Formats: sequence, structure tokens, C-alpha cells
Amino acid sequence: MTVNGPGDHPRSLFDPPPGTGNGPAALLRVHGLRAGYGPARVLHGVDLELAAGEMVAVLGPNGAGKTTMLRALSGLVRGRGSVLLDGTELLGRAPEEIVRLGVAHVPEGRGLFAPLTVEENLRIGAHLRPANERAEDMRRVLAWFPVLRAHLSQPAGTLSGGEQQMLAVGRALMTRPRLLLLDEPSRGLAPVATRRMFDVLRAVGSHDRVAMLLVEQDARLALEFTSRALVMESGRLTVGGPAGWPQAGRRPSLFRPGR
Amino acid sequence: MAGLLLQIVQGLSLGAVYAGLALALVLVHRFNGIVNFAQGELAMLSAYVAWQLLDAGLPFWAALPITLAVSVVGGMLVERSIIRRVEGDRELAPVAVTVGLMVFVNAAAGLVWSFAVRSFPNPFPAALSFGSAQSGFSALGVLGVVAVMMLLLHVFFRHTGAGLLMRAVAADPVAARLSGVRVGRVLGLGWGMASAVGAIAGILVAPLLFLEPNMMGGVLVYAFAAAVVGGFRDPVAAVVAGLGLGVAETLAGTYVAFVGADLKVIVPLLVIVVVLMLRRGPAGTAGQR
Ligand SMILES: Nc1ncnc2c1ncn2[C@@H]1O[C@H](COP(=O)(O)OP(=O)(O)OP(=O)(O)O)[C@@H](O)[C@H]1O
Ligand SMILES: [Mg+2]
Repeated sequence: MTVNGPGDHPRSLFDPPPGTGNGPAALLRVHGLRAGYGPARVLHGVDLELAAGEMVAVLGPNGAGKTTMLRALSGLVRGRGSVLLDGTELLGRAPEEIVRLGVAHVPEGRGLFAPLTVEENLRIGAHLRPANERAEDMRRVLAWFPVLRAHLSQPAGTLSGGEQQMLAVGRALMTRPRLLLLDEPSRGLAPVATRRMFDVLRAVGSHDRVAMLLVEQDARLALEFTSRALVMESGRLTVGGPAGWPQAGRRPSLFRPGR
Repeated sequence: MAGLLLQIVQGLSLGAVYAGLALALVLVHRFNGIVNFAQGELAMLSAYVAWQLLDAGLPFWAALPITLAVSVVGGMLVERSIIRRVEGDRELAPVAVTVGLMVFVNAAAGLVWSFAVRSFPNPFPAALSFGSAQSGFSALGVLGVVAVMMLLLHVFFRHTGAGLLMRAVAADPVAARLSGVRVGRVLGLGWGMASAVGAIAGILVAPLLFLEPNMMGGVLVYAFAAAVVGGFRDPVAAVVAGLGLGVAETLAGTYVAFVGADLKVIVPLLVIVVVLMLRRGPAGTAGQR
């Protein structure tokens, strides 16, 4: 597959040069992404490529800009540079339009509709899907997160922290995304539940070819479940990882733990 | 005894009007986070639209849906053109804008229709009436219309997909956008629905108060008090409070000697002050979201 086939999005000066990488064509290409809040710059040029179905961890200290990067990708903060999803430029689009293109974002703090029931939360996630597929999608999500089944008619805000986290991920999966942005989905989960959640994510990712960007504080865990990890530091994605971990290459975003 | 019953029914019908306008205030605040001081004047405008249609010879039950449709569209236009600019602002800008809108609509209505007092036909059959029971019947009619309207709103919000998306926006607009809900449209629709709900209050109260540009000023004070009881969020509390205020006002005006007709307006003001004091702080007003 060529990187720049006919009918592709017109290239701008900021697009990465064609022909980098000889693996599968990337689903997501981020180049020179800069973003911030008012005068405060947070991201200083992030480069990133993600293939369809690929699961990549993003590590990094507090305040490095991990959340800001996900927010820029989903349209919640304005970004500059270039973010191409399958050739379509995402920057400048509203979050509700970016979701329609297949990007689901589970935000830090979950972003549930607290007064609405668990079932209603899931139905809202599915509202863009064809009506005849929603029931099947709901069954899938409840099979992945069976604890939710017992609480379907309970307000989301009254779930336990871990259950809320599962609901947030479940709701995002109801949109059947091509790219899933997960901001610390393990927060509030017991270790066993965390592993179960990551198992589900990995299974969905490979089965439905959902690419995932997983922000995670627990480096060891993230590296266990993802194919590679990036480190965000002061607004840039950098080479390397925690001391002692093997580094597979010198190029950024190629840090592969030995598995 | 029959007199007391009639007073209560009349109080309830007046209260239903307050409840309707209070519901409109709650709707706008739930979706836009704004206290709409112009809600009463928009309802007055709708009443004039209805009057114009009736004047052109349309029967009441044909003029009503047309008026409601005009109100929805007009409300959405107002939201899109004026309110959208101050929606994010938490403090004074929205207040200034809706107060300005209130004054503007009032003056514009005066220019177009003059401040002359007009009679507005009562839609409920006088033929059924005998003696003092006539006001009883029209009061029951008002109650019935407001009850049907609330039932429809309830069904819409609880049992339709669009209603679910609107509730999602009210609960968390950012999360709604992340779920692909076009929040801008929902905010406009909320404003339009509030205008229609207010229009019903305006059309129902016009035969009782006579139609004139200042007609809704007093009603807005009562509706405000009722909305405050519901913290500008809770539609059921606002409706119950509206009904209660109507009854309290009617009974106090008749049975409490020193209140009389002139001091009736004390009732809602007292309610506002007491509720705010019990809530400790400004939680009952726009500060709460
Ligand atoms: N709404 C905001 N307004 C202003 N500055 C912000 C805002 N949100 C985040 N910041 C700043 O941007 C920087 C990056 O924040 P961000 O939330 O992206 O970090 P993070 O890597 O996700 O950190 P953590 O691991 O603690 O979640 C921080 O310095 C933070 O103070
Ligand atoms: Mg963060």
C-alpha cells in the first residue's frame, strides 16, 4: 500500500515525508503537534505514527502533557501542526465531528453522565451507530464487563470507581472506534480488574483492528500489554523508557520492551 | 366551602401558568446555564403572535400549534444569534444580555402593538358554564393544558432518543461532545423548547390578565420564585412550587385581610428570600450548575 495514493488528503508542508516506515500504512499520523492553554504552551511538537490495531502506551511524569495530547487529538483543545486519521486532517474539527470519524476518547476523570443510568450511558455511546446493530454492541460490551449488567438501571454516578471506569471504556467502545484514546483507564481499578480490562482492550484491539493510545502511570503494566511505549516529557514524545529497560532502536517511538 | 374550593382551583390554574414559565426558566438553565430574564417577555411576544393569528380569523386550536412552532424557531434564532456569544461566561454577561433582551422585547412589542390593553379570547367553552362555575371550568382548562404539556415533555425526555441526548448535554456537555452529540444544536433546541413552554404560559394567562406588553412582568416574578425552589434545575420542584404559589397567592389575597390584592406580590418575594436563606448562600441561583 502506498503512503500517498490517489485520493489521499492533499499534503501540506508539515506532513511527514512519504515513504518513512516500511510496515503497514499508519492509521494515525501526528506531525509537529503543538497545543496549550491560552499563552501556556504544553505540547512542543509531537510526532507519532500508529498503525490500525496497534496498541501503544504513553508514559511520562505528571504534567508532561499526556492528557493534553489526547485532548488535542480528540478536538477538546486546539492544536497546530497536523493530525491525519487515515488521510483526513483532524485539527480544526470539533470533538463531535472527530468522534464521527472514528476517534473515541475516554478522558481523565471518565466523563460519564453521572445522573443517567448505566444503560443510558451506553446507549448514548451507541447513538451514531446503525439502529439494528446497537443491541448486539450492547451485548458485546456487557459480555466484556459483566459487572455492569447488574447495574444497568443504576445512575452512573453511584457506581464504584472501578465500575465507572469500565463503563467509561464500555461507552467508548460502543462507538466502534478506529482509534481509542485512553487516559489512565486503570485508575481506580483493583489489580485483577486492571488486568481484565487490559485483556479486553487487547482482544478488542486485535479483533476489531482498533488502534489504541494508552496513557498509563504503571510502566511495567503498560509495557506488558502494549507493543511499544512512548515517553512524554515536557511536551515532547521522546526516546527511551525507565532506566534498565531495553531499547530497541534510536528512532523515537521505537522503544520495544523485550517480550 | 364551595367558595374555598373554587379559590383553590383558581389558584391552581394561576399556579399552572407560573409553573409553565418556571419550567421554561429551568429548561434554559439546565441546557445553557443561563437565567433567562427575558423568558416572560418572549412568552408575551408569543401571546401577541397568537393574538395576531386569532385576529386574522384562525380558530384557537389552530393558532396554538402555529404559535408554538413560531416560538420554537424564534427561540432557537435568539439562542444562535445572541445567547451563544455569552454561553461560556459564568457570571454577569449572560445576565446583562437577557435583561437587555427583556427590555428590548418589551419596548419593541410596545412599538408594534402599542401599550394598549387588548382582550384575548378565552379558549375554554363558556357554554359549559353556569353561574360562578364558569371560572372553575376555564381554570380546569388551564390546568389541563399545562398538565398535558408537562406529560409530553416528560415522555420526550424520558422515552425518546433525542430526549436522552438532551439529558446527556444537560449532565455534561463535554462528555456529550465526546460521544458525538452536536451540543450546539441541543442548546438551541433547549432554548426553542423553553420558548414554546413559556408561550403556552403566556397564551393561557392572556385571557385572565388581558394582553399588553407588560403582561408577563408579574408572572415572571412568581415563575422566578418557583424556579428558585427547584434550584433552577429541578423541574418537578419548580412545577409544584408554581402551583403552590398560585394557591397561596389566591388564598392570601382573599382571606388574609392585610394582604389584599396589592400586597400579593410579597408572596413570591418571601419565597425567594426564605429558600435562599435555607439554602445558605447563592446555591439556589445561577451559581449552581
Ligand atoms: N485547563 C488548563 N488550563 C491551563 N493549564 C493546564 C490546563 N490543563 C492542563 N494544564 C497544564 O498543562 C500541563 C500538562 O498537563 P496534562 O494534564 O496534559 O499533563 P499529564 O501529562 O496528563 O499529567 P498527569 O500525569 O498528572 O495526568 C500542566 O503543566 C498543566 O498544569
Ligand atoms: Mg493526565
